[in-house]
Amino acid sequence: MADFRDHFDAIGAAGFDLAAVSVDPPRTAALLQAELYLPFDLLCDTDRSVIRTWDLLNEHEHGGIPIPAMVTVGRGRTVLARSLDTMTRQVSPQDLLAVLQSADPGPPPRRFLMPRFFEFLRLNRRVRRAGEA
Amino acid sequence: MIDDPRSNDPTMDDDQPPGRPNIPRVGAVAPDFQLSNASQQPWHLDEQVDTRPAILLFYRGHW
Repeated sequence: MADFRDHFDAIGAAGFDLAAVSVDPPRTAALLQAELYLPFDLLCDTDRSVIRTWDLLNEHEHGGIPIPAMVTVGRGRTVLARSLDTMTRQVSPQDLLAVLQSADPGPPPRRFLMPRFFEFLRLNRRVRRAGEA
Repeated sequence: MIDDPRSNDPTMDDDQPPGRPNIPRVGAVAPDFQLSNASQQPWHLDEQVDTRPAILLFYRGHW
């Protein structure tokens, strides 16, 4: 999210809008938006209808959360690019823009992201909790 | 390190992951939706992409 925040101007200059979808309620989304200074919309799929319809629902965590993914949608809602990601392997904004602006777009490459120490601890805790559930 | 974009990993190209046939593919028409943003203002996909394409990030939510 922070990576996309840092490239928000470049994304806009390239002609793209940016929004993020989670199941967080508006109050939680507003908190995250303020904490990370996110300049783009955080959309609240609180009843999980969108991620269910888009087949991106991970039912095994927290009552259902999105699978990390990036989908670029053009006029007529045509999907221009898509990347299904993991916690540690994601497409960077630069690579996504390069793919979207290329004449022959293919799937954008994903980079390995090293989680920061506290993120790693939280991720580890969540995985263990999921295993116990 | 940049991955080979043509990797055989099914999650890295446009193949559908097993058990998830309905994730919108490249070239397909994505299902429409309207959601509220953090300010509780409506955000309608079909209207948004009528003016310019939108990159949608699906994320896990606030930890």
